[in-house]
Amino acid sequence: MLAQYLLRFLAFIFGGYFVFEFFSPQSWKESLQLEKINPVVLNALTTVSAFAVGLGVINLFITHGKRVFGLYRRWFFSLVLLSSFLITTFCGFYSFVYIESRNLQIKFLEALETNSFEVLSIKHPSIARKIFLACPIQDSSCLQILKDQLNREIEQSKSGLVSNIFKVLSEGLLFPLGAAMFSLLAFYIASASYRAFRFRSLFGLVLLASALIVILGQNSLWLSQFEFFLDLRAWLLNNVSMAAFRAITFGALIGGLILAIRIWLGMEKLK
Amino acid sequence: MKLLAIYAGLILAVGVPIFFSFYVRPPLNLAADSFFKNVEETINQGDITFLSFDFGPGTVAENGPQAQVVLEHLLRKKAKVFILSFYALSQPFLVSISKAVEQKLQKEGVFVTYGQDYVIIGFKPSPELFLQSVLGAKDLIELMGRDFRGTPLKDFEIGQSPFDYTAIKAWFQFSGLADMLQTYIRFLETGKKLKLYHGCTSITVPESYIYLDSGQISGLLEGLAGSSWYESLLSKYFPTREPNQRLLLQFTSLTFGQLYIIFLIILGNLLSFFGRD
Amino acid sequence: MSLEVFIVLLAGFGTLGVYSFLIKENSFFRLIEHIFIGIAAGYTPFYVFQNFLWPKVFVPLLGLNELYGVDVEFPTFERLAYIVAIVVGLFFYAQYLPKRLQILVVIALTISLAASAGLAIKGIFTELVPQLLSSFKPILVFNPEFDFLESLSNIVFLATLLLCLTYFIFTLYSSEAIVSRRLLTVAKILLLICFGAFFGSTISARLSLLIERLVFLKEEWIPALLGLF
Repeated sequence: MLAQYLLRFLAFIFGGYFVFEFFSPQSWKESLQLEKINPVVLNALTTVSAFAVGLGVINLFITHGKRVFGLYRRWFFSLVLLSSFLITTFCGFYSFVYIESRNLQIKFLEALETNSFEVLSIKHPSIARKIFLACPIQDSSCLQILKDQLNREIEQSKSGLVSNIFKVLSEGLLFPLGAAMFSLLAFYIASASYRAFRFRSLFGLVLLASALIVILGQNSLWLSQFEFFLDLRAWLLNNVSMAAFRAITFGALIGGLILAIRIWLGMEKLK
Repeated sequence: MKLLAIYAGLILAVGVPIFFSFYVRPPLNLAADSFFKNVEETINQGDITFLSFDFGPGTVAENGPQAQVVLEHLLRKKAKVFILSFYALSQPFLVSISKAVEQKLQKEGVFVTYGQDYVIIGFKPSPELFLQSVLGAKDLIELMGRDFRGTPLKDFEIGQSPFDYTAIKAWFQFSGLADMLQTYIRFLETGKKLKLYHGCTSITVPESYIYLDSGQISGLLEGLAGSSWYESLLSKYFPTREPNQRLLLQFTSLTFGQLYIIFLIILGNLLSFFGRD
Repeated sequence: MSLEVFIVLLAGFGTLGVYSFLIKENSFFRLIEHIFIGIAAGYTPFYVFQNFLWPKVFVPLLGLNELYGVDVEFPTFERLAYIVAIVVGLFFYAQYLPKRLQILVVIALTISLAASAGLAIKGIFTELVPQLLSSFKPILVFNPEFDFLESLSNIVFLATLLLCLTYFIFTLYSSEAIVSRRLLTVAKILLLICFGAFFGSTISARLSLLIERLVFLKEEWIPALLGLF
């Protein structure tokens, strides 16, 4: 019972913030400094959602890990999946950590131009330790050499082995395979057009006629003979199709609004 | 066996124009025509524009050419272009498309400089967060911070003068993702506060018309047909430019592919009518 | 062989591997499929961390804002908000803990969904109102003379909109009344015209994807392959 009240309270507060922010007058927003707080609140809420990504990763490991360790049928493919996941994640994080740690040292060195080493080392002790080890005396020439070296290391890492592996995985596999997977749908459309699309009734005929007008209305070879299809297509899309879709949109938006209000007021049971 | 024949026929229908490199002229596309004329008449030298490449490998076939032709048009008009994306998988396209357009223009003697004429902001997660901040920010250069390489925008010529959303002449958004356009419309209050131009995939064309009619988007590019007509208009307005053969080739293939699909529908129905399925 | 050539060759072989599925499901396709899923699954958490969690959350939390040259208005509030956000985010993982701690998952879900609902309420108004306003079209259009086609178009538009809207009010029509049945039929036909337009557009979209891959194979993969010999 207490849990239910807590959940309703949390839903009301977190949902209500945006409703309040939207409906409140500008003077209230200025006095409460909502425009400055808003990015922080949005960042924080996005962070909560971002952590949910890890759930998918864990599930992936549980599902495919069981197949690998239990030597189920086709366990090899699960091993390939987990291996490619681990390699991609490792390469991505390795490059990022390598470059970012050097970036932070470069930024520390740039900050030394306007701040003292002692002050900065209190705020950023781990970075200061690395700088101190490289340049114990911190004279300007040593710091400049260190900065140049760090920049060189960053440039070299971009064409290093790990970066190249990541590039191969993303540009050689992820993007082209993604495009190829989606392009398979063209073949299914073709087979569906031959096997399933039948105009046995008035409704089927209307659907087909509408589809044909839309397709032929932008087909050069057809329009070279039947130019009026261009205007017919435009009229269809601007009047009938648009009105029907707008009606569907109104329904969906109002339904969405009702559901959002129910969630905000805690009327939807999430358990 | 029948299925393989259908698939083989499809590959032949779309493959023959590709492998033998012949072209058809793209027909007039009213929405793209209006889009082009709007850009030609309203965007001038020095105007600030934003381009969002919110597409990945699944929709780059249609959104990529759209982004390319519009970016080329804006750079020819010497507008200031900020390129960004809210979709993680679009990152390589931000660079590859910009570089391709820059190289194409340089071949014709139209010099564009990174950091002066255009800058790539890169991927920004959470569009709701960023787009809401756009309307409230006093200086968008500070909001965006750095380019995709991490260089502060203030280090570039394009980032020297601060500006807020009222200085944005137009925002061009290319996407086939569900709900992405609606996110822009909701959080940028387009039509009222900002002019939004949208390049969509063919799937979302009927859906996009409702926003075009209400004024929430100021222009629409319909998939490959829209970008092909835009491409032909670019060639008409800038006669010395070399046409984008790859785009025209793709459109030609599409033309033949569409006719093949219609042929399949008619054939399937005729065979069914005569009792042979 | 340079890296770029290797990437093109790999992309081409991968594409053909995917298309091998059209002939028959085979081990090569299955291998490609699993590699693709593994890479896609590995790419996302890395990008979420690199582009959001690190610059927006961990940099302010670790006090690195100063090095990044970012001025923070309310540093304490920001740090507190992000610590709370991380803790609540970790609540999602309570589903792997004993049953009595499952309430933590519900708390995290409630906060996420409530925030999305709040944003949706805000967003729906800005999206819906202009749509409503632009639906009020004049039945008789004068430009300055009476424009028959425009007037007819507007009448068709309004009739379509109203009929389709009422189609979804399931309690409005009686299935026995002839007038109701005929209105329903007209509304269905109008909706089918819309769906037909969607289907026609979808055909173009799907074909474009295939065409793009074929152009890649012809213009990049085949030259790279021939370049090897």
